[in-house]
Amino acid sequence: MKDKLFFSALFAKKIVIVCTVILGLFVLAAVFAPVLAPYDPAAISLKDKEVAPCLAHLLGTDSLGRDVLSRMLYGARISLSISLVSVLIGGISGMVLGTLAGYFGGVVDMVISRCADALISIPPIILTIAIGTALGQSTLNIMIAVGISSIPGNIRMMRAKVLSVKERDFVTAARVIGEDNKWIMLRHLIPNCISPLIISVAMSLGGAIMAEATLSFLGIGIQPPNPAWGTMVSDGMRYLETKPYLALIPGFAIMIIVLSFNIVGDALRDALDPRIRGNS
Amino acid sequence: MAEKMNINPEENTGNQKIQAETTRKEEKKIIEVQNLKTEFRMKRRTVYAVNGVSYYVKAGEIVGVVGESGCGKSVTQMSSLQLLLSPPAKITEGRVIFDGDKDILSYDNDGEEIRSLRGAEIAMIFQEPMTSLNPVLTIGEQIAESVRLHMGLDKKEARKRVIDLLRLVNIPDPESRYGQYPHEFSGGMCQRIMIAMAMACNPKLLIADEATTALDVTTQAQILETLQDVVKKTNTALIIVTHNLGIVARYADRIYVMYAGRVIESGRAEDIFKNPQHAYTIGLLNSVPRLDDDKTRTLVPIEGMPPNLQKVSEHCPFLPRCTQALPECSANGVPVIEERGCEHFAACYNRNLNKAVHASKDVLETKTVSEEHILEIKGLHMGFRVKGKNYGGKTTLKILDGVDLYLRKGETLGLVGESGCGKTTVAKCILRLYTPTGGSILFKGTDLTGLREKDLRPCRKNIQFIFQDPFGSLDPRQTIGDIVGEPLKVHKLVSGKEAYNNRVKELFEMVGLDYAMSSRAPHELSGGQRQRIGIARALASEPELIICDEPVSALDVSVQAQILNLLEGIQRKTGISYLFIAHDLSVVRHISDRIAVMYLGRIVEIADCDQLYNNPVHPYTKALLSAIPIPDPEVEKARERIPLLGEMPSVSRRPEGCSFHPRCTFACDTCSRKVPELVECESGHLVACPVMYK
Repeated sequence: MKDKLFFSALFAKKIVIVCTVILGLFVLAAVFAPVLAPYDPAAISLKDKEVAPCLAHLLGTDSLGRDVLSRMLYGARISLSISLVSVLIGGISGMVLGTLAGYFGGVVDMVISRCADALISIPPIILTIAIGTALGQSTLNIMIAVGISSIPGNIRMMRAKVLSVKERDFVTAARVIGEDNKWIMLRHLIPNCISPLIISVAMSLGGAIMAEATLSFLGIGIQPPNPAWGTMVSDGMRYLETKPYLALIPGFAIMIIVLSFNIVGDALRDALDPRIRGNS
Repeated sequence: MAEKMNINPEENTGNQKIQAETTRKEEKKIIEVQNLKTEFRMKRRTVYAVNGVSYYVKAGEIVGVVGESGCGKSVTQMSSLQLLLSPPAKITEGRVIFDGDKDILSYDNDGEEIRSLRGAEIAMIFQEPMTSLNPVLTIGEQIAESVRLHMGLDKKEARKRVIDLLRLVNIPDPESRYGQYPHEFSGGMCQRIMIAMAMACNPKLLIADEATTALDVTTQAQILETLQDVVKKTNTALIIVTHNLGIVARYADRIYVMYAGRVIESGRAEDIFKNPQHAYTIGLLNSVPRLDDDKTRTLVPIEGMPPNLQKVSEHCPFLPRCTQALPECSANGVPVIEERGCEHFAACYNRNLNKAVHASKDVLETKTVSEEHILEIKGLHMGFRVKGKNYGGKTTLKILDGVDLYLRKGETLGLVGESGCGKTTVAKCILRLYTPTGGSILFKGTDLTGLREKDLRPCRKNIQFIFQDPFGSLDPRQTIGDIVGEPLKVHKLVSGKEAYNNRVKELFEMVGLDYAMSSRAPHELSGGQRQRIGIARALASEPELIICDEPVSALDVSVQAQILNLLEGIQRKTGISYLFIAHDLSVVRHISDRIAVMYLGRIVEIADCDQLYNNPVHPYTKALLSAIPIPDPEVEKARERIPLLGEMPSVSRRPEGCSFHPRCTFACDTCSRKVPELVECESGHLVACPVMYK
């Protein structure tokens, strides 16, 4: 009953359905990349280099003659998994630390918030680069680097929300009942504070793909021959005048997926709020 | 007096402001509303908020509009001034004639004509004085603004007029307060400023929409006295919109009772209260506790809720809740409002309504109060450390300054006082939401003050709390079934899914709710239902003491009666003890066995309920009782009013000696030197006033 209401509110707008379908297709493409890809994404074939989109190569080939479609499909695996994992790292740590800081206040809040402030004072891209460089180049490290850079924002958001919710009567009621801190945080604070975080996380999925793309573009992300979308944009840049599709295809894919994540995130926010849900 | 009246130098020789020497009957109608209909057109539904309302107000007359919330009281007033946002609001029918010849509804809703009426000839005062004032402008500037806008006075003249106005509404030292900002005034003072602002241009009509609801009873009385004074002096017509029947009984000349967007009864105040002609009016009168009640009276709530106004009812809109309906009520259409006496109209088919107050409490079901003290508070002190220049650096604010109380098993102790006197702080100390800075709280012999949080937790199930706000006290993310069952899980009071469900079901039944609703979310319930959930949650762990902090003040009168009856019924069944905190002394009187009166962190008087009401000793108790209006104009006229001087000071400026002495008319020298102790003046009646009792 409740779930039905939630989904009907979530998919009240057509554009949300379209975006969800698009995201679903991307995920399917990533999962079934080995089946779908017509060529080996890393196979270099210099005689076929820089072929424009045609029947044999639907999206053409790049400067080393690798099939762009195959690279796009395999790239979806890397890009999507990086964004999902990094956003989860950032979201969960932000949620835990933010809740602790907001609920306990005092020294706990002081330590957590000052650390978050320190992190936030560094521009996120520089922070990611720094962490990425320090940890060394690997897919997991990129995930961690991108994840960490989103923690401070999540902490702040969660802390602010917890601060306002913990003053509400129902939290006092929980204390009067005799609930301990763990119970109060898990059952009352987090469920009531999490919706902005979920939305922000859904929206930052797009941002994480961008971050990965940026890192790869700058040459400290996914290293060739692994096909990540960001790397592909950066490679394609050099041929922007002669072969614009090389940068435009992955760029376009990033744009579509970021946009879809944002629209779904937006709809999620409205659907998660019982008051807005009731009126829509 | 004569100077105060002269606030109107230009106009008071003019035609319409003749002083009230002429009799009321000859006064002309200032506003006449005829068959007003307003609807709200939303995307998927239309709400018919006002369904053919007619009323009039004469110059110098005070008219009360009463009814439960959602009955269209405010919407009617807003419609008559075209103040509603359109869309969604749409006035579909009716005429509003102002001052004999101005047809307000024919004006463009934001045009020159209507704007020259609003604020100048018709003024409104709203519920929240604090949010109605602009915090960055001084109060003088804000009042002057409307004077200069509508009366075209220059700066100097405007200032003079503002100071006259501030004097009119009894703000002391108006010259120096002219330049102060809203935050420097208390809520009551802000409401006076709002009245001054409303009176700035000598309006012919003043509308007070729940203007005193947010204020303390004593401040409420002060404000209403001021309003009455001002309108009688200036011969202004006043409409008081309120849900409080006592207020209209005390102040209104005529009353309109509204229900489901209609006027269902109107007449002179005496007639409405003495000889009500509509089942709803009778229902309202029977559901409110009165200060002069017999202790054995049972409140008779109006069951059910006001109708959903999404469709226009075919029959009398009150029919589903009416206990005195006749066969023709469901056979015929909506009853027309007909004359029942001099200026007395009602829309009810039943001409032989039973006006008697229903059955008194069942004598067999009297509760038993044992002598055992379940709770004993001794010398309770509570202070907060604060910083800031207002407090002169770092200091401790003493909220509670030695509170002594005890509560017997099975009894209800009422705790009353103005807001800010520390009632809720006492409650939070008992619940150990605050850790007291001194004194002891013995609950069944265990001192709660020294316990650590971990040791306290098992004790918590014995002392529970009912909140004032039925909206904020329930977790919006949980279903109401989960909310009620939570204490069971926390204290592991039941084992097994089935036992849990049975217990939750039992609790739902105890508070009169259908268990089938248990999967709903709190926002799907009405205020009264939510408060029932709050009570069920408090009862879940079978506590021995429940602290009720203003449990009915956020509810409508008819729902209030349901909740009070429920609390009383539970007490008789389970022998639970209540500490009942409220500012409404008639409610407290109704439910309590003993009452403690608090003032600025100290108890000033404790006595048995009847002793306190029949024979109050402390001047503060007397003033507090006098401030509560009784819903009966005849009784009201005969009552002696004891005005309370000024306002309760902040705890940071607690007066030396008896904290009440600056406001006390009986104060003598010793009062300002020595803190009076509670002395027993008769058995069980303690009072802290050496002047009144030696």
